[in-house]
Amino acid sequence: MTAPALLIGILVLTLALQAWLARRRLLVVLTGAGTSVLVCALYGLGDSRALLADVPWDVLVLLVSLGLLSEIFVEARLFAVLAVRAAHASRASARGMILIFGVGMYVVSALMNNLTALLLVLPVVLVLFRVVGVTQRQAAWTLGTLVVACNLGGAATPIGDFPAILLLSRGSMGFVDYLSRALPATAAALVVVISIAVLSQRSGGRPGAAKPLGPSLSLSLVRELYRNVRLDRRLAGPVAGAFAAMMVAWVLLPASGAVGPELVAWLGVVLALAVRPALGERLIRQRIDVEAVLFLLALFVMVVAVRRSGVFGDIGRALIALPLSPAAQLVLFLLLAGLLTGVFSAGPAMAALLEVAAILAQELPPNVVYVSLALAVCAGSSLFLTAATAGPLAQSLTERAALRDRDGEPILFGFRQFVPVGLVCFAVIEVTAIGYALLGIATSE
Amino acid sequence: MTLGEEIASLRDAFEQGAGELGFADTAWLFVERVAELRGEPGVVALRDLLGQTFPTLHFVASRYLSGGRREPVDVSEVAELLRGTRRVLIVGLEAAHLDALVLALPRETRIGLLTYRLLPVDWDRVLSNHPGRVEAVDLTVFQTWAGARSAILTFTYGRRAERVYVLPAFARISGADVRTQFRDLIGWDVLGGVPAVYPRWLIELPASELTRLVEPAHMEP
Repeated sequence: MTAPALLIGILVLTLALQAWLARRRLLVVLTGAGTSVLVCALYGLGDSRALLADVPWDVLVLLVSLGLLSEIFVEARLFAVLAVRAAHASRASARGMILIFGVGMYVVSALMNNLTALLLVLPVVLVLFRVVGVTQRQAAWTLGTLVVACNLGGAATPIGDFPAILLLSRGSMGFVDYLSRALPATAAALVVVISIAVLSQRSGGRPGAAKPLGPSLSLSLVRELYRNVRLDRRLAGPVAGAFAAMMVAWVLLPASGAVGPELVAWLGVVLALAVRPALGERLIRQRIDVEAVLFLLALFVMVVAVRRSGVFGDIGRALIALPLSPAAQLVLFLLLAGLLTGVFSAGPAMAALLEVAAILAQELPPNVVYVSLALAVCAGSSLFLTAATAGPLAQSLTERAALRDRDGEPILFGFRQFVPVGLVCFAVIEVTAIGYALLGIATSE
Repeated sequence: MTLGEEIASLRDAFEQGAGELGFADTAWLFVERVAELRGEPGVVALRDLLGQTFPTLHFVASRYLSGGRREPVDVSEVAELLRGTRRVLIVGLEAAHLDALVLALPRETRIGLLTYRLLPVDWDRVLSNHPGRVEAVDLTVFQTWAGARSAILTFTYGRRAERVYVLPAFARISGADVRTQFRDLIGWDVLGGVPAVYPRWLIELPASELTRLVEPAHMEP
């Protein structure tokens, strides 16, 4: 068997296995990565030192830095305060919760680690569910919309989530180039997704009817549950200042300059952590998401191995050789990207697909290719609950809350309950990606 | 939805509140909000429909209907009893009383909260209301808080003759051996009377299990 066939086989098998055996995914990907290195070494494609040298460490630096930044804001109790305010703004109504928490999660995910934000915001939503009472349909649409809003927020900015961070760190696109294109596109998709979700819910009571007890009591209860939780301004203020300075640096510094986005993140976060040194040291020691770092490192190693074998180049050239117009080739690529992401999840899919996108970007406007790819990956990560990391987290928190409807039936939020929401959201975001691509190609001609 | 159906649907909500705010605190919250939104008929329905399941709610609703209102927490006597104590282990949860106690005790007094409860509780959320001030204490390690200048404080829910009503958590840690390990075992009555219905969620213990019992000025017989 040839090295390319072996390496692509290992990659595909590993991606499938890690999606199937989600609870053993670290073991699976580390085994896949180690095997890929072994194949490379035996076939003369490079030893482990060479492969590790090709790993985009700057992406990992960015991810760790932004994760730590989110943790400082957690310590400042920012997310809990925002969640309580969002609860009151939503008036605990079905439609209000989708609208307010959906927009809130989009904004937060655009700037910070969406998992951390979801972990702190979801308990408030679940308390509202428990107190107001909730139907299975309402729970599925509300929680589903929050997960999709996290995905869209993550794709909105170059620092929101792994796929966009990868584009930024590779120098595929500059900070402003990406932001100015992806933000409007994801915002448009969010408006459509939230509109559909809101319309899926029954409207509130009749005008003039007595104020319902459930929502009113739930808001009183939420206020009491978080009665002494205040924003730590002495921590949040300087950290927000450091974050603002990082944003300015990302916007102003050239992507190809000596000071890259990862160095900005590194120095900015160290500065933010130094605001309270004891806390900063504790966060570095205890809160770095080692699991995510190892998972991505293993993925990168496998992708690097496949790239060295030349397979990605062959796939890209085969796509270009199809008897289709460049626009149709890109549409086909985006559809495949969405579906592959749905199966393999966003991180692995983006790491592999970006190599093919680079070939397409030689024929088509690069910005159009990369942004539409990020959107298609976002669509795919919204297709199934298992495709984005926010999904399983929402599932486990909901299971732990042990919600029941008025008839005493358990409220579930799992793969099956998410499917209707996922299909609708996948269609909306994929259409946005394709629409963006076609519009971009048309305007560049 | 009828008033009865509306009130009955609040069962889960009350349980959620009782877990993290306490039975008495949640009862007052519900009675006051229902009275505001549905008037006296709402409080009657609350007492009759949910009060059988939650006896403190029955007691508070009854007291409200006979003209009683929530009174500010008076922490002075408890604070005086705890003077000179280095460590205070709280058993049970009543938010208003805990808040008042935390404010009244000097910062050098460590305050622990026993994380044992029959209802579901998000302890991180409970503790986030007292950042850096109240520590979580697991049932398995509560004796590390023992000492000549340590005290246990538990909330009580009325007294009948020489027997007091407490949460089952207190029974898990009380006993002759524990009595000798702490300077004081203080009971702090948060209700001011005994629920008229079967005291579900509570257990009855001899008052002699406590070294001190602090009760409101006006106790119902």
